[in-house]
Amino acid sequence: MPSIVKVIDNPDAIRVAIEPTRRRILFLLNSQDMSASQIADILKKDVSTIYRHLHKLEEAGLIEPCRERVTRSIEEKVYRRTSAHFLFSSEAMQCMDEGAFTEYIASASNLILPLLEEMGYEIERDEECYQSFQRMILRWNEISAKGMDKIMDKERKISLPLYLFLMLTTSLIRFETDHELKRSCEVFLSKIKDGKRQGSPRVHSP
Amino acid sequence: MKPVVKIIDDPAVIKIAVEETRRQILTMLNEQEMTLSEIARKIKKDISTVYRHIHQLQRAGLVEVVGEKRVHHIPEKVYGRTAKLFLYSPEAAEQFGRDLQAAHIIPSVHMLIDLLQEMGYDVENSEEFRDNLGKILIRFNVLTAQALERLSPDREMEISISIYILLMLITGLINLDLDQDLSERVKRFRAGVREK
Repeated sequence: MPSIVKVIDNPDAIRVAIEPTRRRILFLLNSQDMSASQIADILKKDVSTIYRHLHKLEEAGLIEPCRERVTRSIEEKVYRRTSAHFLFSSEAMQCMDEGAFTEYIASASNLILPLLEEMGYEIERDEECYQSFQRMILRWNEISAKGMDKIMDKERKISLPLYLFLMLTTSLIRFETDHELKRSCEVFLSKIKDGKRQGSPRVHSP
Repeated sequence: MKPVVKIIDDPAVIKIAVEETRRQILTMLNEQEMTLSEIARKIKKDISTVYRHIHQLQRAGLVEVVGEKRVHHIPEKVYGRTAKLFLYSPEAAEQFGRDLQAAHIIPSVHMLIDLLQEMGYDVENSEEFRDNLGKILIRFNVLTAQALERLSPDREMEISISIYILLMLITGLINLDLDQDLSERVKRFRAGVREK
């Protein structure tokens, strides 16, 4: 049975997880269990390529086959994530080269910043903005796993909404107590110039 | 392809989702996709009862058939949620108000404090502290829902669980500067927690 969160403490498994195509696959499996051909269809790649990635993900303990699927009388393995959310242990991250995360962090900012803009926030996208965002994300990744091991080794079920609240509260505490996180977050938030328009967000046209 | 987060703005759908047994089924389907008989076995209810609930959830657009599975050569439908996370729109949730809070937030606050303590935090466990924390959680939920409602469907598809957590945090933190009440509450929360 998959757990709600899993802390990855093996640098090799982290490298497997952050590769772009495999990240896409993990993202797809976030909302639904899928077979190789379903994934291949969505990502518009060869099934053989997808199998190679699935194999690596399975070896790294990030996904597992969970059932068979019958499509036009052909049986296929359906894969699921071993956990809804993967966190990286700070020990594992520290023994990795920071460069290993460059693409991963850049793609996070390519995702998050446009989302915030579409939500109606105006972001001053200068060098300082990117740098503070990247430092914030990297640091947040690095310390999010702290303490999680203490609640994961039990037979207890933590529902997704409860887990989200847990991540929210621990982050609220750490954004105050962790100097680096606090500092980078303050700089980043200062770049969100028109957050003041909270009451009257820009509404996108349908 | 399915979204990870789906906003529910129809009060009738919320009503279907919050009913005890159906909530239990939805929670189970978050861990894994299941057939009717698997669900029935797990929650110790008749297949016909489970079928009725699944049918309602399906009609409300919360659950769908995701595949077929052969059990002793007999094909059975496999059901899954239409999204990992259902977020109630603030307007719709308001119609339920206290009911919804009683069903979701209050038990969550108790469990959340237990979890924080097990993770090694010293947490003040007074009624006032719990009440304050509950209000923070509700406020963050509302802020996140409001922010997500402004996204186009294409963008919504880009949100994974980790992106969702980040957005919830960032939109919340942006609003700390603007929302005096929330900012006071977060200060009080932080004052009641100590990392051991």
